[in-house]
Amino acid sequence: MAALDIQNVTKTFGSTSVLKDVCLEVRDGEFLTLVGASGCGKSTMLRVIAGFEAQDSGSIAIGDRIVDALRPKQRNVAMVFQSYALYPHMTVAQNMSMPLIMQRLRLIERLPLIGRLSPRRAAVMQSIREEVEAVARQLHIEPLLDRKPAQLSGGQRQRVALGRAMVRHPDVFLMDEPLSNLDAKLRVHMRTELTELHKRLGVTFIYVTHDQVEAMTMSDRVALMDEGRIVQLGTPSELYHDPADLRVARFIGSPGINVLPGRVDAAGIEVGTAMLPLRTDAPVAGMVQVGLRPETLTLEPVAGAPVLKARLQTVENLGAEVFLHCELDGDEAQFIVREPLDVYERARAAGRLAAVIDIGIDPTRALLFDLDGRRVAGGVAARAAAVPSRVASAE
Amino acid sequence: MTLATANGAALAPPARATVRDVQHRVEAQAAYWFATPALLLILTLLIVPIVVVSILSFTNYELGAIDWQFVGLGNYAKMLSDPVFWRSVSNTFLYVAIVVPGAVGSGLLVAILVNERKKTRTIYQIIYFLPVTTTLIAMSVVWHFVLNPQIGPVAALVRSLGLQPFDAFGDPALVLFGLAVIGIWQLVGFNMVLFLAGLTAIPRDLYDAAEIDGADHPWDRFARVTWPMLGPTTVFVVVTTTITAFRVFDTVAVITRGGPLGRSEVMLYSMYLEGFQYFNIGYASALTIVFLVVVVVLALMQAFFLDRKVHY
Repeated sequence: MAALDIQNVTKTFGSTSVLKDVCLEVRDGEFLTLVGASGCGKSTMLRVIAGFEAQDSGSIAIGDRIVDALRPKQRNVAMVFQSYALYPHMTVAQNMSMPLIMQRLRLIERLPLIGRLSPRRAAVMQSIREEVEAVARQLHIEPLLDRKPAQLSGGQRQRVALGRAMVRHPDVFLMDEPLSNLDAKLRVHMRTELTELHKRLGVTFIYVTHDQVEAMTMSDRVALMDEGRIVQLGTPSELYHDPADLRVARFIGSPGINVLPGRVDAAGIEVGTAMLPLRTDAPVAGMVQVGLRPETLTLEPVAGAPVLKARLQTVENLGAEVFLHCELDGDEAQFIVREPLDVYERARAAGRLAAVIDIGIDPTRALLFDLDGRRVAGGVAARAAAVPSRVASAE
Repeated sequence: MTLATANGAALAPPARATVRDVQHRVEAQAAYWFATPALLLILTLLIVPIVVVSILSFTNYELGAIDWQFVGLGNYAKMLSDPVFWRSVSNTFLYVAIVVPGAVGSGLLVAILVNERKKTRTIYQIIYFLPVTTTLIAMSVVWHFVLNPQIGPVAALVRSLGLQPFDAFGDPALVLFGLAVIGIWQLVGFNMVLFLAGLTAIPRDLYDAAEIDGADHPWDRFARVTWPMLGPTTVFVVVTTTITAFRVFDTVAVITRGGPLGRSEVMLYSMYLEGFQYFNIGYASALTIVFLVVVVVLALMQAFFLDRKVHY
């Protein structure tokens, strides 16, 4: 177990700069997820931590040790690969024994035939076998120990890869999109299993994924990366409700956040036909981007709430809830409203979905961004004090 | 049931089945038509010649002779008591036993070394592949000169070191090794290309996993990842190299002509002598059949035994 401290790490491949001055502190025993679109540098970050790639500048410490000059095996990290990277010619037991054999037997003892002459080899191999069996029991793969990877299902291979990582009791677990080769159902199951494993082992996990659902559901904290930088680091809830940047707001959440153009007015912010009673630091008569999560919009506006006039385009019925794809009346801007099925049915029965419909906005939950995508402070006059302070800390 | 038949509608399923049957038959016929050209080629170019040769092997036919008889297993019996035949068999096997490990081992070594080059990789690939593209007959002449004990550069080098130069093609004890060196030289490039293809196909993740597991010593990388992962390639390389080595002929025909003292008589050369120098077509055909059987059996054995160990 150890904390991880990444200081000002940069990495370039040829003329492309992949990591730009990344700083990240991972707490001891934390489940931290690096999330971002492909090419954002998250996998490179993981490979630099593992020691497969050397950073151009900056420093990485695991626990109290600076590991910059250490080789991967000396860093005491374990890695689970997207492809699992199991040795196809070895049985499950041999795969899982590999790190221990490398640690405990000298080169000469690992040679075929000659190695058998070593008097302590048999004892070492026996203790390795016992440890591997113990880990296999924990992962419920004991019956598979004598099989080869080709005879295993995707989920079983995943467990073997985890087992190979666990036997050596690493300080840090590195995981590179470990669930993306599994089918959808198994992926959901393995998510909870990995979370439980993390709780049980209490070891620091660094998890790389492009799937925001995995990031949101599994992590203690999430670092969202874009173009080689960490855009925001925070708990899943902070990233969702309090994004520091439009890129974060757009990446997190499904369906995605609605972004509508807003004009700053003395009285508030005008979005389409609605006037949001929000105070903001943005200059009067300037434009802002207003982020509205689909669930903050409603077909049943409360009295006095700001209302958007919109036309219904299509309806996606997911059973328990409904996504309504709408277009601003007299504008091209599209957005999605998320409502429980009964609210939708009520509105339809009352004939409120006909031509132009009224969509209610909860102004307290609107997120404001400037035209560069940076979050700007804004809030309903009465609550103005609370929101800006939170935003400031996130930045 | 009777009602249903009277109804007429119940007749429909059998009718549909007939339509499907017809369609099936038409498709099957079309398949045979498509396969015919290839089948004809295989028949005329491979099967018929082999059948003809095996028939000839039971005759005493001589090239240009007007009459000939079936002699049953006579040619094969003659073979068993022919010292030249036994000499050529043992020489061929010895040659194969030197060339196969030599050409496979050095092909693998060169492939691993070339694979680690980044900028110069293509250059090395071309250089090592050049012998494959040359005519072995012409290169045999060059080798004959290079290893010549009087005027060859190798002899000059040995002499300058104060040693007695050796005669690779004149010394009965050395001649097969001399020929094997040329055989290896010609095969290394081809095997290298095959091994390079195998090396490229090894997933990089495996090396990363090995590195983080502590297997980062070159020996461990080779023994635990590279070599096992090259298994299928190696089987293929060993089989093709074995077959090529069995067919050694050009170098023998150009450089040694079976000498000295018959120490470089090989199976293909005996066949050539019997068939095209002495015109004993019947006996040569029998030799051909034996050669064919030996090569096919060896290739099948290798493929069968080794293949089971390399597919995971």
